[in-house]
Amino acid sequence: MSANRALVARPRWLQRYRVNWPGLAVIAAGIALWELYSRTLGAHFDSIASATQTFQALKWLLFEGPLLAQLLHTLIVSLIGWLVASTLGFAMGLAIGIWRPVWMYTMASIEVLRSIPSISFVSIALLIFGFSLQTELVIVIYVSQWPVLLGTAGGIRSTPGGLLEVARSFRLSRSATIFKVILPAALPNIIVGFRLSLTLSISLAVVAEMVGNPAGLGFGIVFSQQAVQPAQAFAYLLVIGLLGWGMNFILVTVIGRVFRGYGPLV
Amino acid sequence: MTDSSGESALAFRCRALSVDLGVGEARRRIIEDLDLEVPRRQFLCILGESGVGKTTLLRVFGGLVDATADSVLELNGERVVGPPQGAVFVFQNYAASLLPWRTARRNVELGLEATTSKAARQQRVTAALRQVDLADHADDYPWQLSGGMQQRVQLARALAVEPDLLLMDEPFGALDAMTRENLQVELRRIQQTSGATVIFITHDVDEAVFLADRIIVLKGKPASIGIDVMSRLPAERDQVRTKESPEYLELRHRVYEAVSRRSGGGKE
Ligand SMILES: Nc1ncnc2c1ncn2[C@@H]1O[C@H](COP(=O)(O)OP(=O)(O)OP(=O)(O)O)[C@@H](O)[C@H]1O
Ligand SMILES: [Mg+2]
Repeated sequence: MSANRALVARPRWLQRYRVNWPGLAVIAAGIALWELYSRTLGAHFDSIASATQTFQALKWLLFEGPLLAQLLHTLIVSLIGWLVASTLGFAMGLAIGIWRPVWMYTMASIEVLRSIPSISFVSIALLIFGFSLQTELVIVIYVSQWPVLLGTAGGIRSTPGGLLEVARSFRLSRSATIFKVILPAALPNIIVGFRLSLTLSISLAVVAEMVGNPAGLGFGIVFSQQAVQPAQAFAYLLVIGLLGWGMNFILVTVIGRVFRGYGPLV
Repeated sequence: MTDSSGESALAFRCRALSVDLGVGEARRRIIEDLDLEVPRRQFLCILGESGVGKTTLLRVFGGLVDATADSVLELNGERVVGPPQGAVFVFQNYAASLLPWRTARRNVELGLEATTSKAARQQRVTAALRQVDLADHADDYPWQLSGGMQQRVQLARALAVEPDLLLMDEPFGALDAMTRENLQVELRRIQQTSGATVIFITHDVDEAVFLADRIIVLKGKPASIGIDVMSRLPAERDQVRTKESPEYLELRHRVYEAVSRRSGGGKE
């Protein structure tokens, strides 16, 4: 009853986010099982940290260790990388989607480039830029531009013919057709591209930090591994997971508010 | 050009109009050697069995599909290349013709945005939505509306631009009988007051006879004009009295015969 009252009293904007109790319960159960396992069956493996050890390591890293600075580094790099990649990918996808010749000349190269596993570019970037922030940014941007590029180009190319015909029959200008019909029709695809790109930019930032740029959460996790500090490595893993989840949550929320009119489309 | 005499001036003129559709091997002649003259302000209904080429003909008239190179197609004395100014479509497939991210009101606005100031636009949109009885649903999105309501939004979008030429492809096919009859009366009234030329495709003989000044039945593969009859009904139409009048019944009889003759035409 009092819980109900608390819900009613919450500010308007908060009421839209219901707490997913069953989901939280599963997570809590998972943590409990993890703790149980590392105290019983797994007790003699030094390399597996228990939940309590991990949380203690997390606390130490946060208040006395370098965690906050590293988190900030990864956050900023992946955000900047994502923004640059999204802008580039959107601009190129727009050109490819709108001008038929551009599509014809570039699509084959794009298919080839895209099918090279992104991790293999890490070595190339290292060769060119050395162990640096530049390496990290280049990797992040290069890899996470693809989903936006392909989502934009594909979304534009698959604009329903009926809508294009409506635009033609109302004699809409070329730019009006693009802004009022083609881009809105492609928007759901473009947004999927933005979301995939965000996930990729965080992953690639961490990968690049592990091998190419000694900074951030990726470096932190490698450092703890080399220092044989399993609890710290687990703590980093937790933080990386939370970072990805949090950024995706924010993006989805922002999209939901900006494009509310799209109803079932987004 | 005798452009000033509004009643008799020609809207459409086509001579030896042929249309091919499809690409490569699958390219077929859909319409062959069609001659037709449509005066301004005429309400022309086109009938014909499914797949005969009604939609194709309408799209050619509206400049969305090209006729063969040697065809002549003119609107108000000018060759039709691309959608002409003042012409507007109501498409058969309403679900694919509304912008799903725009409300009914914003959909109706689409054709006015380049030409009309915001205030004048609002007024015309509201009036158009009222004409199709959707004033209460102005702020709904298409996915919140029934099929018949969506088609009425499309109709309002066409009416809002106050067109000279309305190209309508079975616009009332998805509506219930009541709404349909009301809209028939309303459309006829709008056509009479605005002086628009209307080319209206339908499957329904009664609808054609009730609405038309003139009826054409398309037949054959490739299609050409089967019959071409003028209506002798008075300009004012009424769902009860018009349908009881001898002229109505006579025209209905002729058109029914023409439409059903084509099915047995091959044998005798
Ligand atoms: N893009 C196309 N390519 C090739 N053939 C086509 C194409 N579009 C339509 N056709 C053919 O043209 C013919 C006429 O089609 P159309 O859509 O004009 O028929 P319709 O009279 O409007 O039929 P309905 O009453 O069912 O709407 C059909 O036989 C169809 O198969
Ligand atoms: Mg049709």
